[in-house]
Formats: sequence, C-alpha cells, structure tokens
Amino acid sequence: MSDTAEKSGKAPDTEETSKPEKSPTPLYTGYDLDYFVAPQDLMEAVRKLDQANFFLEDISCLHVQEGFQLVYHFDRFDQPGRVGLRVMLDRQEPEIISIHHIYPGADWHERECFDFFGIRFRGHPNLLPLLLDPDYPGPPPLLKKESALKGLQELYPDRVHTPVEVNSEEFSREIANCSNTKNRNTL
Amino acid sequence: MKLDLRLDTSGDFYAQKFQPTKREDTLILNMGPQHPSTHGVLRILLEIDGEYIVRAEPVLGYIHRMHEKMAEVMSYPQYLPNPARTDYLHALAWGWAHVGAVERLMGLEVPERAEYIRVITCELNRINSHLLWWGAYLLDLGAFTPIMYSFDDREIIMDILQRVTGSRLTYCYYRFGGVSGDIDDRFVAETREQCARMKERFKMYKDLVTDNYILRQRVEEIGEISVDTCRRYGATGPVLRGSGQAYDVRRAEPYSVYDRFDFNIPAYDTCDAMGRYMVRMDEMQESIKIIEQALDSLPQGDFIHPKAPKRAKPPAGDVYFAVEGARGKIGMHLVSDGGKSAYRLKLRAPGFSNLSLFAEVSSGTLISDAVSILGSLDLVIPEIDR
Repeated sequence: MSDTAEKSGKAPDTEETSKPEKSPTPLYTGYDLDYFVAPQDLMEAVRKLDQANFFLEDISCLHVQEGFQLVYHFDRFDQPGRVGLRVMLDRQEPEIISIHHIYPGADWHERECFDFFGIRFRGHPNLLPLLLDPDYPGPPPLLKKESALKGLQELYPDRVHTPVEVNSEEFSREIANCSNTKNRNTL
Repeated sequence: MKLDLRLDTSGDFYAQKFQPTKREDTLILNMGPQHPSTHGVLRILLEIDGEYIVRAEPVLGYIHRMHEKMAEVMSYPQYLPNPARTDYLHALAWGWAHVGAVERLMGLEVPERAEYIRVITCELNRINSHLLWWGAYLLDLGAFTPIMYSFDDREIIMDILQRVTGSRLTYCYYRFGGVSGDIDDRFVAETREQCARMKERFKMYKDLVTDNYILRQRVEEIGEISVDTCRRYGATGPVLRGSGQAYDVRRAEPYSVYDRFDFNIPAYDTCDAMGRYMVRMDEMQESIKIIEQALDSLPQGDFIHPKAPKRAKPPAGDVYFAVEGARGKIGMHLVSDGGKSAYRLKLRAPGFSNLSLFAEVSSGTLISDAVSILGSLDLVIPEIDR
C-alpha cells in the first residue's frame, strides 16, 4: 500500500503545475487502445472483444464534417483496460450493423444514437425512439449546423485515421494484453 | 365464452409496438410511469400471465432533458451544476466525472488537499445515496420504519455537506483544478462524529432489518443475475458486485488518491437481490473506512490550484474519464475542438445499463418479485433519461 502511495504522488507533473492552461496533449486520454475500424469489420472486431471478455460501456457518436463517427467503448472486469472502436459513417445515409446479437446491452445505446443523430442500425430488433417523444417533430437534436461542424483533423490533430486490420493476429494479441496498469495515476 | 383481453390494449405508440405473443390468455399491463416502486417516472410494459411476467419492456424518456445538448451550448463553467441534476442522489460523483474529464484533457493539476476533500465529500455522498436506497427499497417491500431511521442519518450528513458545499442535494462543489471552498475543523469534527455514530447504527440496521426473516424471504433467490449477463449488458456497480465480480472503478481504474486508502470491494456471489443488498450495506462501511483514513492523513495546502483557469478551454482532442458512482461506473466522453464549450459530451449513466437487463431477468417472475428486482437495481430515473 505504502509504495503505491509514493508512486502516485503528483511530483512528476511539475511542468504541468507551472503552466496549467497550456498543455498540448493529455498524458493519458482514458483509452488504452484506440482503433479506427472499417464499417464492414465492426462485427468481427466486436466478436473478438466479446471473446476476450470485454463489456460494452457505451456507444458515443460524433457529428463531423466527414460524416458521423461512432465510438464504441469497451472495458474489462478482470484485467481493466479501455478499448475504443471508431467507425466512420456516411454523412447522407448513416447506417451500420447492429451489434445487439453479441452485446444485448447495445440495444438501448443504439436506439439512443438513432434518437439523437438519426443513425440507422441494420438488424436492430426494435429501432424506436428511446429517450425522445415518438412524435418529436424536429430533426435529431444533436445534429450540428453546417457552420458549426468541424473536421476530424481539427478535433484530432495528431491522429492518423487508418482503419486497423481486425483479422490480424496483432489485433487479437493487443486486445488480449490490453491493460490500464501502465497508465494508472497519470492524469 | 371466450374473452379476448387484448382487444383493449391498443394503447399509445409504445403499447402498440409492444406486440403480444401468440398466446391468448395473457394481458398487457402498464406499470408506471407513476408507480411508487419505480421511484420517478419509469414505465414498464408487461405482458402477464396471471401474476407472472411473460415479457417486460421498460419505456424511458419521461424526464429526458437533453443534458448532452446543454453541454454543447453552455461553456464549461456554466455546465458545472448540470451533472448533479442527472443523478441527484450521488451528485458529487457526477460532478467529479465532469471536472475530471476536463482536467484530464487540459492536463490540469489538482492540489493534494483538494483530492482528499473530494474523496471525503464524495464518500459521504455515497453513504447518503445508499441510505436513501436502503430506506426506499424497504418501503417498496412494505417495511415502513427503516426509511425514518435512514433519513435521520442522512439529515446529519446533509447538514455537514451543506456547510461546505452550500447545497443539500444537487451539489456543485467541484471546480476545474480543485473544489469551491475549503473544509474547516468543524467539518472534520462533525464528520468524525458521524462516522462513529454510523458504525453503531449499522449494527442496529443489521439486527433490525438485514437479519429479518420477512425481508430475506422477499430478497433471497430473487432476481438472479449472472456475471455473464452483467457483462453482456454492461451492468456495473453493486449490481455487478452482487453477482460476485469485485469490479470497482476506484480499484480497477484508480483516479484521484483512491489508491492510497485501504478498503475492500465487497462482492457476493449469491447473484440475487440479497447479494446486491449486502454489497451496498458493506459498501457504506467501506466508505466510512475511506473517510476516516482520509481525515487522518488530510494534507495542508490549497483547496484549488492557484492557477486554475476561470474559463476552462481545453485543447482539441478527446478523453474518457470514469468514476465509481453509487450505482456503478459513471463515464464521460468529452470531445473538444478547443472552444469554450464541449464539441460533444457523452454521459454514460450506470443506471441505464443496469436497467437494460431488467427485461431478461424479470421474465418468468412474479410481479411482486419484479418490484423487488427493480428496487435492488437502485434506479434513479433522471440519470437514465438524462
């Protein structure tokens, strides 16, 4: 207990202390693994995460110039570590396969994305408004105005958006070894 | 005479979509949105065969307020009071998730004293949340008196928190880089006194309620949820720990100074409502342990970083920050474009995922057991609807 307490001291972050307002990139983003996945590979990636005993935290969605970015967050009970799967969807007809067969908990998260962004999930058993009134007249409420839309490059300046090869052994190995241990106690 | 009870069940949009099965002897029943056991406005569509539930489907959204949109139109400091309005019972944990996400994205340092104050107040709030759940759950099950005792205890904790935070329920105490005000000697003394008092009360609660035969009949072997069901639905918190999996964000993904304290993660592998009940009862005692250790080692120093920005403006990028709330894992996915308000803020409500397994768990149970299961999930509807 005592030596972990020493390690967790905030001493290494002294540079941050002097200039709290200007820090370029966070030391730890909360993601231990973060992938871009091609829409057709999503099912396979989710299946592999299921086999590796991950659970689905939530499905977040982002409206950007290029279209919609769905972010699936996964974490694990026995060996905690967060995996993010990012899928880009078409701007005009956002559609993606539903993953509720693997994770029944995704059912409501997908309905929420349908509510707020109008994304359609193929094969969803019950794609009805979840939080909004079924008679809600307007467009999905979280769609942004054209002028307010930002490009992926503006939001994630340092990131490369190349999809990962989900069938590769490397992907399986990485998710199997995923752990947040090395990132603990970094802000 | 053959009576088709389904004739009058056309109902509203959701009732119509909730198609009855092929059976002719079942009845569609609305439980809620104004049902005492749902603690708010949750509606559950039930298909029942006598007293047994064939199928259940929760209908949400009755108090949906679009907190995620508000995050995009309000500046970061303006949004500070909002998270507390989602889960009003564990308001500080939600506030913490929000400030924590912004701090993580900005790389903002929090003084050690502020971290300790956050731990103490957040744990006090957790005890309060569990106490209210305890009283209300027993009220659902027909025991009227315990809620009077739990409100007696809650009142003292709320007085303690009111002095430092300024409010009694929907606290807005945490700021980017610290907390809004320091705690004083009186706070420390009162908290210590209350911790000592609570320890005696827990003994009484065990004798009077936990060991009660009638209660046990209502909760034991009711609503069994396996760990795998929790995993497939993403259930966390006491629901998961009541299924035997000792997963707690404070331990699994330690934030703040939680790794300095010695506490257990209670877990019960009975998987039933009793398991979840016991997890919460034990958790309150663990919280007391944490508070006492934090008070013993409370460092001196600033309660907020002296250079903490008044107007937070995190750089472009995104972070995910999770904390352990009274109901489970509270997560915030914050995406910033470098502006003064969030580009997107996704709130992960633990109750949302916990409730989503209700349809599977409740099928085949008695309606009265479904009330017991619902209560054992500890739902706070504003958090689920957001």
